[in-house]
Order: sequence, then structure tokens, then C-alpha cells
Amino acid sequence: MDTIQNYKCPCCGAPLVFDAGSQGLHCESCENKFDLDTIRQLDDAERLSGEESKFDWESYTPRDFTPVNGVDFSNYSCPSCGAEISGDDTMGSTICPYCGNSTIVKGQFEGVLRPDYIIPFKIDKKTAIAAFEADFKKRPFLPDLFRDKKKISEMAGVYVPFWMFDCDCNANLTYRANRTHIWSDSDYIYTKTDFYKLLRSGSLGFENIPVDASKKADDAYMEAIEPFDYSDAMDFGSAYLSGFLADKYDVSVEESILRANARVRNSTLAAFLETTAGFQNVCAERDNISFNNSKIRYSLLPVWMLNIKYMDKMYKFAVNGQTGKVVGEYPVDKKKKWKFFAKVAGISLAVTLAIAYFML
Amino acid sequence: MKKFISFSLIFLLCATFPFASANDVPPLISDEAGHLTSSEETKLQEKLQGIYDTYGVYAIVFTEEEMSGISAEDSAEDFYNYFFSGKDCIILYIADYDREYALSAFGKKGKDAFSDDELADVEDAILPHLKKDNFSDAIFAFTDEAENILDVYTNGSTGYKIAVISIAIILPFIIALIAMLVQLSKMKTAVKQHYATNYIRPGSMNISRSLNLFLYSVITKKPRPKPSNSSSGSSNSRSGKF
Repeated sequence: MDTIQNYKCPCCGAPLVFDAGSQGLHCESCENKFDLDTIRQLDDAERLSGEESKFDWESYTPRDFTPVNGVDFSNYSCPSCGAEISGDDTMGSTICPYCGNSTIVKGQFEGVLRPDYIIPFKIDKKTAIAAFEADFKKRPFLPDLFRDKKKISEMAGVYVPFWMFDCDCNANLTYRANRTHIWSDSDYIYTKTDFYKLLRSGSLGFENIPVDASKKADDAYMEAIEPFDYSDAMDFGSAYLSGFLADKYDVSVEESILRANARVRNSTLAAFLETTAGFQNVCAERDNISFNNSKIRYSLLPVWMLNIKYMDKMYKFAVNGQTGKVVGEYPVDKKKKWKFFAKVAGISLAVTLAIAYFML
Repeated sequence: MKKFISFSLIFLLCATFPFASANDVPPLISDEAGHLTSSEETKLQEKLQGIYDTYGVYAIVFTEEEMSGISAEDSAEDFYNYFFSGKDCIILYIADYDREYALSAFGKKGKDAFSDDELADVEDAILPHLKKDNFSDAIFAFTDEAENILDVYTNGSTGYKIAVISIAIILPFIIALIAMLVQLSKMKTAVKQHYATNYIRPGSMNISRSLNLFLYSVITKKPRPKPSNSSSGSSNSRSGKF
């Protein structure tokens, strides 16, 4: 049995009726006329964009790893923050890279999960310290006492675990948009607003979206030191761990997927919104996003970590071990802050009073 | 002709009036309709002279019983051309038989001080009195309002002064606060990323459908604002019946 397709007016929502004269559809409520093919496309697009988004990622199977090549590993645990890190036996460091606690305990190596790949440290400790010290110049309210060379030298290189997400993202989106044209004659000013419905479908590929897989590493820090250059990524080998600490993931793939989904969705919506240029107001109406060719990999990325205690508060910093990008939260010298405020206010006051004098 | 004789008589009166001729003061009051008592006229003369001495703009009152075949605005302009040509003036003209009035400003300063909004303020001040035939009240209301407007024009309004000084004092602190917050934001660089734009595969964006479906148009029209006064090259004017 054939089904009868009922179309609704995109302007007012009233049922559309077929107009034999124009061979199109007519709305008896708002008097608008539409081309039949246009309404079919609109109906099709609305059906697609109205479906629920599906973020289907492939499952990930962890693989155990046993060091080879004669490198002896030990496990280090921090009684303060509970971090469990691995490092080669020759590590002299006894400072927890995550919380700065110096009573880190060395134990028997229990193995790590084998990553798919690793980006080796590209900058050494000396360069990382230089990058950190150079970053001081960009921080206007940094206390002078904070620049303690001894503390800075406790910077530790850590391979932080990340889940890497690849996918091809398919999107169907509808927007409401308008364009306004203003003109006038000798008696009236006219404003014409044209209302549109915009339909967009397409795909967008993402690769190597990193999501921090360590509970101890602060997500904000790990996202702020992005991006990494994945052209330097190598197949994992235990030799890369020599002289550094390596954390193993304790955030599951399932937990990390939510973060990846949010970033993929935001970027997809932003990329498709750019295709709606030429309209004055564009308002997203519906969206449907789904993945194919999704892939999840486990990797270790190089980060220099540093904790500096200042005025009884611990300040954390991270330096991208590949690019040297420095992130963190610096202490604020209140005296410098208010001095700056007074200086700007004083100069501005002199200028505004001079302007006011000429205005009065 | 009647107008010429009328102006000539006024001119002769002024020329023969010892006080007026000694100080070369043109006739600030020409009350042909006789709405003012002599004491009111003396008081008004002092006030109008005071306005000129303070602000350099003549405020003039010209009344007639009956209009002489030309419009109220033209009557005010004729009076200006005859006695005050080239000077800064604001003239109130009243013809009580025809129940017409005109407010006309002449000269650069006169026109700058009495633009359409200011003339409307003067009009609002005098019309209630004219409608009740309280001509002397209307004339004094005109004088008071003209003085207020000239004071604001010359010295600026009190509200304006307070606003300028307040902004001049508060704005620098707002600027300093914003600048400080911008600098403070540099002290924390560990912030989450909300986008994955860095990880979009180059050239991977493929648009399979891009349709802009026109739905409907809405056209609205509103009348162009038109000036309610007649502003010729020589004067700003406002006139009407009461």
C-alpha cells in the first residue's frame, strides 16, 4: 500500500497542498509557494539532521609490554598523590612529577601496557629549563622570588599516556538564516529581510586527537601543551624510555571517548558554520553527526613536568617535550598587580581629564 | 506699506529716545499689540538687555494686533532685516488677532544656539500661555527659556558637566581594570581546549550538499524623519497658531 507523504510549510508549519496551476506546493496559511523538489530536499535534510548523533568508536584491546634490549625498569609510587610511574633503574630522580612530593618510593617493576607509538623527547632538560625561564618574560606579575634556580632544576621528563582518536565524521546540519537589505526613497526607509533554510551535508576527517589517559596529569595542562607533531611519532620501543619516567593509563577508553566526542563535535559544527558565509544571522537548528573509519590508539607523549612550592602553595608547570611550549599557572605578585593598575589608571586619568577640559 | 510705516515709526522713536540713542540699543521690544504694561516693559527691557550683555545674542519680542499680509515668519524676518541685520538674534513674533506666532533665530550663534530642538523647547514654554491669551506670561516664559538655552549653549548643562566629569574619572579605572585582567589572564596558560581544529586532516572536508532554500521575505517601511521647522539659509524658524 502506498503511503501519502504530507509536507509541512517551512515558514509556518501548516500542511502544504499541491497547486495544479504552478505544479508546486502552496501554503494556505501563510500564502507562500514552494517548488516540489525544494520541499523534498528540505524534508530529506531535516529527516537526516533530526536523527540522533552516533559516536561509534572501535573497541581497544590493551597489550602487555615487557621491556627488552637489556633495559632494567623499576616502578615508582608516590605516597602523596598515588601516582604509579615506571622508569629505568638508573633514574636518580626521587621527585613525583605530578605533585612534587620528594618521598617517592621505588618498587619492583610490574610492567606497562604496550603503546602503539611514542613521540620521543626532542628537547633535553636544559632546553626545557631555558624555555621555562624564557616564559617568565611573558608573565607580567611574576614574583621575583619565584625564579628559584634550584627548584627549576627538579624538572622531570615523563612520557604521559594519551588515547589518540582518528575518525571520518559525517554531518548533516540545518540552519535558519536571514539576509537584510535596506533602501529608501524620498518618503520611506524600506527594510527587506529574506529568510532562508540552509542545508549542509558532508564529511570531515580528524586524526590524532589526543585525550589525556592519566588521572594524575591535569587535563587542562595536557590539552594546553598541544599540539604535538605526529610526524615524529615512532613505533614503541623500550629504549625511548631510558632516562625518563613513563606513566601508564588509568583513564579508560570509554571515559576518554566523551572528551574526544565533545571536541570533534565542536570542531565539526564550527567548520560547517564557516560554509554559511553571506548571511547576516545564522542560527543552527538541527545537527546529526556520525563517525566511520574510527580508530583508537594508545601512545606516550613527552612532557617535562615541574612543581614549584611558593608561599605554601604548589604551582604546576608542563613543557611540551617536543615543541618546548610552556603552560602552567604562575603565582601573582599583588604589589606588581596593583602597581600596574595604578600606572594605567594614572595615565588614563590624565588623558581623560585633558579631554574633559576641552569638552567643558 | 503698513509694515514700512510701522518700522519707520519705531525707528524714529528709538532715534529720538535719548537713552536708546546714547547707547545705540536697537528695539528689543516692539509691543504694537500693547500686551505689556509699562512696568512689565521696563522689567522685560532690563532682562533682554541682560541676556545680550551676558550671551551676545539679542532676544527680541515683537507683537502686532494683526498680520500685514505676510506670514508670521516673514514678519519676524522683516523686523530682523530692518533693525538687526547681521546680528545674532532670537525673535518671538505674536499676532493676537490672527492668533499666530513665530520663533525665528538669526545669525550664526543664534542659529547654533536655537536649533529645532531648542526652538521646540521655547515653543513648549510659551504655547500654554498663548492658548489662554496670557500674552505677557508667554513673553516672560520666552525670555526665561531663551536665557536657559543660551546658558546651556555657552556654559554647557549641569547634567552634561557632571556626566563628562564622571566619565573622565570612572573610565580610567575601568580601562585599568580591563588591562589588569588581560595581564592576569597571561598568568594562567593551562586551559582546556574545546576544539580539535588542529587535528582536522588537511583537505578532508567534503561538502556533499550545500543548499540555501529561500523561504519568504518580509518588507517593512517607516517614514523618513522630516524636520518640523523651516530652516532656510538665513534663519531657524518655528511657527504656528495658538
